[in-house]
Amino acid sequence: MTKVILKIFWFFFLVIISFESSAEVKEKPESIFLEANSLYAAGKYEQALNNYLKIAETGLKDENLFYNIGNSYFRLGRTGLAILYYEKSIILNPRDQDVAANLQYAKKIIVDKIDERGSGRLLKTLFLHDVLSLRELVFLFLSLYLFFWALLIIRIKYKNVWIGRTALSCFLLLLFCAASLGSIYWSKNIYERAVITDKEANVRSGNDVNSVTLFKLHEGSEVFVLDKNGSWAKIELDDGKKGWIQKSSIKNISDNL
Amino acid sequence: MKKIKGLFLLFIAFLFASLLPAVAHKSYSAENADNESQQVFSEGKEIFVKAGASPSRAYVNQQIIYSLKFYRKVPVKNASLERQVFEGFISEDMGTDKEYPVTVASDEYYVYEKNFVLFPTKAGEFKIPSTGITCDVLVRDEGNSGDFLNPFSSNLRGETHTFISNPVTVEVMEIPENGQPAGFNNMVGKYIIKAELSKNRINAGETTLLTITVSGKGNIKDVVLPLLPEITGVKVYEEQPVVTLFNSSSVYSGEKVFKKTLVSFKGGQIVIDPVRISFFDPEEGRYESAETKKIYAEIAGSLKAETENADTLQSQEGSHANAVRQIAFDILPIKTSLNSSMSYLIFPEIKKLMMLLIIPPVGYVFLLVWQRRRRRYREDIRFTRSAKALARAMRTLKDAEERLSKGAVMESCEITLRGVKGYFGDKFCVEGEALTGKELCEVLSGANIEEEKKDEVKEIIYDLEQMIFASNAVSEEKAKKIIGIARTSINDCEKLL
Repeated sequence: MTKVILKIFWFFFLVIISFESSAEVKEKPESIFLEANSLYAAGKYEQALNNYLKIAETGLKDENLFYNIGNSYFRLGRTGLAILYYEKSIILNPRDQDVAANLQYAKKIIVDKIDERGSGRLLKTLFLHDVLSLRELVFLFLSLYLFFWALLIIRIKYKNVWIGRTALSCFLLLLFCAASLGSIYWSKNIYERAVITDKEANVRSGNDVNSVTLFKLHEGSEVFVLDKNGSWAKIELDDGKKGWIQKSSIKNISDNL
Repeated sequence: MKKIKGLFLLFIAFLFASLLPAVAHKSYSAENADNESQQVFSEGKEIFVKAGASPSRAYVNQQIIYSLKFYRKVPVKNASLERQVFEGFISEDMGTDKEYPVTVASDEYYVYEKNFVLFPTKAGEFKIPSTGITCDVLVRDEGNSGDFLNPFSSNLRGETHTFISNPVTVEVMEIPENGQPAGFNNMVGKYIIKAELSKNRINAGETTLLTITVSGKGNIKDVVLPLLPEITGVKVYEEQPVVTLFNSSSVYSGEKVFKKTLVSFKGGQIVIDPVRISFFDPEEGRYESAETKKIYAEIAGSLKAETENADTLQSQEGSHANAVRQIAFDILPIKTSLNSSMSYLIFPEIKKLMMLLIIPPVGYVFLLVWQRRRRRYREDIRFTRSAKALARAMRTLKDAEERLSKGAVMESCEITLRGVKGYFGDKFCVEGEALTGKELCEVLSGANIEEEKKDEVKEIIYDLEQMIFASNAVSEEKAKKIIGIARTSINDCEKLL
């Protein structure tokens, strides 16, 4: 019995290791990152940015990398793109105070001031969106899941009250994690967020250039993408204003995350 | 009264026009149209167009109102204006189109007036060319009197004519350089400026909104504010200015609102010095200036800051240390290393990992079933013997075959008999090997097996006992055949028992 349980654990261990090792064959970006840091320190923001972006192109999803890209864009006066990368960074690590501070500062200097309705705030607080990133939640969920089933399997052999109670607690935590994951996916799919990256963009009543311009948005403003049609996207501001904008004027925060 | 009469006339004309079955098209070249319209519809006649500019003598950047008036006293329809060209001017449709009745030399006309505002970009004499208005003039058709009794018949028809306006000459003068104030931004017109703060008393760290409004007559869209003097202890964030126009048919005016968010990070009093704008007043012919009042605001230290200050003072009795004040803001520095813990694990891989979630519950169910089966093997002898009967019988028969191949025919028969009896003994949980052939037949008679199969088994037992006890009946071939039949029978019985 014990041998069978051990074999199952070994199987999972090997599966996880195989995922990790398949990832490790990719190019090591640390040296490019350090070079980019030196360029940044020397005030060569354009070159530093190119190096950071080169690392990002390899598929690396790193909060520190996105943070540095945001800083480079900020120094180059591209506040919209800076906010985009700060937002990406904060998705990967919601607890990073540096990113939060820079994001707050960048948002202060943008042109548009949009009143927040506070929608989704309760959901975010309740399901720890500001505490754990999606990746961390996935790993917590997987760990709890394996632990829960391991406890059940052990309980087949050893009928112990405490194993049962631990399994029950684990199951409740698992349910909470699943709800958090579900809420993140739901908010990600229902409320796709984007940042205005053009200096100024017209928001129109319809998805063509002849439609009436309802209002103008400026670089750095954040919007929710409700719909997409060809080269146009239907957006909604936090204060409830809606309209159509050219897709080239916005960049999705969750793209490639 | 005249207005009502005019409107009534227009209503009747459009009613007739809508009932008109077809409109006769008659077009003119520009020259012909000009000549003919002058002949047929000259001033004092039915239709004409008049253009005018006010003032006709202006300074560079001074507003000029260009008016186009379309007079008519016969009904028209489908009127359209040619695209007007204003070379040497920045032009804008004022959007103040209107219609009204007017009396010219005791004749009543209905006038459609359209206005453009022009801002000359350079000095010189400029001729604004004529423009044409093309429309269908409704005239009485002499040849067709129509059916008097039919209310839908009409004796009006449309003739297309183009009416040309007069050209207008405008003289544009340079703005005098004498007395031009420093920082003059080519603003020409008459403006006033005012400023106000949304809150004059705020806590450190809070924001207040400074609103500067420039309003007046002139090219309000081009108004530029001088840079706000630096305010100590305050960070200023500019917003996009907003222009609102209050146009009338004779004046282009409006206001431009500049909003600046002031974020204080230091306690004390702040002073916003007057903001001054200079402009050239074309009516007075001299430079003027306007400025805002000096604005004062009180920045109180925040509650938190005060508490911190008090704590600092208490802990440093007698010392003269000052609390550290933030004097500027900037983004925080870059990170020096990558956080590679989970950087490479992207979501497609996580999704693959999620697919493996099915394995633990499947493993759990498998183990649960296996555990229960094991327990039953341990606790239920009847079940255990029955479950293992076939394997045991096959092993025995294999052993018998091996003995037979070595020439030990008798021994092979004994083993085969033991195997067959043992199988049924296991299946029915009795001591099979001790059963006689007759007893085995009795056991089988109670089993859920076809009669044919029972007979087959009985025959195997009989043949084997005969070979064992009557040595003359022993033959290797026969023994081999019986082992084969026994194997088949046992396999068949396994499916039924």
